[in-house]
Amino acid sequence: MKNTGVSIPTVNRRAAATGFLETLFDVFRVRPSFAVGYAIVFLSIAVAILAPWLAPYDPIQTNGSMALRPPSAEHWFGTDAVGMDIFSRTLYAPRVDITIALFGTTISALIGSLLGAWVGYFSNTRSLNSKIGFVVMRIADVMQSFPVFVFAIALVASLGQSMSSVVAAIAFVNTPIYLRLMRSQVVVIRERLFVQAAIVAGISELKIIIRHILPNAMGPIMAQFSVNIAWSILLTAGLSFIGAGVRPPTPELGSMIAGGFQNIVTGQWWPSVIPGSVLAVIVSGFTLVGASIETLTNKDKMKKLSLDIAMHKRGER
Amino acid sequence: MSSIRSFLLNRLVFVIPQLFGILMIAFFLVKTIPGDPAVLMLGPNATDASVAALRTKLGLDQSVVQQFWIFVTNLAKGDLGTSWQTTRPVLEDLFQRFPATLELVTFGLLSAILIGIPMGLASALKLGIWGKISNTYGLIVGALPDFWLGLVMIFVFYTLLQWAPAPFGRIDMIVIPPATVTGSMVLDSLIAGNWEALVSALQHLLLPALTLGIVASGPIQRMTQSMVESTLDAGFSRYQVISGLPTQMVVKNALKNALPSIITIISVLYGYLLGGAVLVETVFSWGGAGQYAVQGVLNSDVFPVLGFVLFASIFSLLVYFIVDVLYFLIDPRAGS
Repeated sequence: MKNTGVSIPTVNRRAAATGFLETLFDVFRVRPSFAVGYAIVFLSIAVAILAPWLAPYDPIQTNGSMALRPPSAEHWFGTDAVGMDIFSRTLYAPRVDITIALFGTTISALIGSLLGAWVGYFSNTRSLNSKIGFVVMRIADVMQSFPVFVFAIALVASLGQSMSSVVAAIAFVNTPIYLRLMRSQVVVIRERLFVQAAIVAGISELKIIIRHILPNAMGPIMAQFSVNIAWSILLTAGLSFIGAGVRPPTPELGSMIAGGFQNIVTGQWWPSVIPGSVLAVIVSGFTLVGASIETLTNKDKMKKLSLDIAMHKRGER
Repeated sequence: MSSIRSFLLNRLVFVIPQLFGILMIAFFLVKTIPGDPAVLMLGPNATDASVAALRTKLGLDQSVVQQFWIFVTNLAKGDLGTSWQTTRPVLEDLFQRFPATLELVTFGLLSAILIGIPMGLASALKLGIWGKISNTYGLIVGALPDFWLGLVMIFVFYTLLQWAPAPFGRIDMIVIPPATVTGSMVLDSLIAGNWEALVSALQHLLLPALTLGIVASGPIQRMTQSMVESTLDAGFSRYQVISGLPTQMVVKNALKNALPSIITIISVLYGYLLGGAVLVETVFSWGGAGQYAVQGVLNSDVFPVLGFVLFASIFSLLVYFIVDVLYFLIDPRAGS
């Protein structure tokens, strides 16, 4: 090959990086709630990792003489009924909640979307696979018409009370959501030309599903994923609150709220209101990140976002 | 009209196997929970012989499949089994407790609709500051743990302000409850014309219903917002605007087109809250069916759990059924 004199443009990495940052800045300026969401998520994950270095006290160290002290310079968030430092416990607690939610949701997303892709690909094809898919969907119907909370509690009780049981329960109740979402995506994508072309080219079904269909169906799954983590954190805390999840003294937000439940009527609000507020902040952080991902994967919302950025820039000039 | 009939028939055909499947999964799941009801019933001082005798009496010495068969045949006769905790038939217990849950969830959902739809409209129409407030509200409220919100409500309105009654039960201890007709304290007091009971029941209902209402209004607000926004962007709405129709009418038409999705999310919330309200029930010592079922799970009391699951599923299916009929009434295209 002769040199034709056309120079191949190389990516200017620094320009790309600053360009990315500028775009990010623009987006955050018109959608400040997204910035708040990412800040909360990063902060809570950082705190969860760094808890042992940040916490002033041992989170499970009881101290009878210091029980139910209100917030002070010594104990920023006060102490609970057995004298444990609420600030230290609150720093440790997201470890448990976020880890459980993350594992549970990831497992359900993997199983649910793979199964959903398979069921969607073969639906209405008059094959044996299609009939199996029909059965799978009816099982999902049954699972979803179960009262979620009672189902989760029964699962945890049946598997034995432990962190891995809570993870399993969350994975179980979430799987049908991804199954349905992926199926509805794949049924549409299956009819598109590039899939038809792949079929004509004689590519195996498994390869078509994994290489050609899944990447095009990932958008809504990703948006659902972050929102789902938020919901799973709530479920984890709810299970522990009712005594069917993580057991005290392990620092966990739901069981901390439950622990302070009796004191609230007599006016000691800090043992349950503070962990509850932290829980609400973390959950809303993941919800906001979910909203931002949904915007990225939704054509209409993306259009509106770029329009808002353009309007904003014009307003500046 | 034939399309609606065949559609409904089609639906009914699936209901029975679905209920059977739900009961089967529930039965085997609850049966795998460790803990022997016979041992729990007789207490720690029971002799082995008496435990064995009770196991035989309860049918616990048979295989799980046989036990399930006995349960199903009893169910066909209208017997849901007996709870060993309350020592009463589950059906009686549920007739007492399910209406309590239903009352709480229904009033909660009504307040959620009253909060959620206007707020969704406000943010869809970008009504200045109200639009922004509703936007933020919709994002935050869905993230609130309902059990925690209930606690904060109790702290503010009972502990601090003393406006609300103590969070125990559905009516004041000293007030004589009305005769049970519907099972809803509020409706029963109205029927009986017992004003004292009505006031007390409403006072007790206010905080838990508002707690559920606030949390559930988040999804309703977001659904209303996104659906009204997208229908206002649709061709027919733009055409109405260009044709010079008053804004109010355009919005009204948009809302009508957004209604099926809003009704769907409300029906989903209804089904979810039946079981999901259990945490709020616990916080307010409501004595509802959800609490009953959870106590059943935690004490290996099988029949209350199964009874609750059955009641809740039938009720959810009923709600979805009504929603399907509503679709036909709202949207003529749904039949084709």
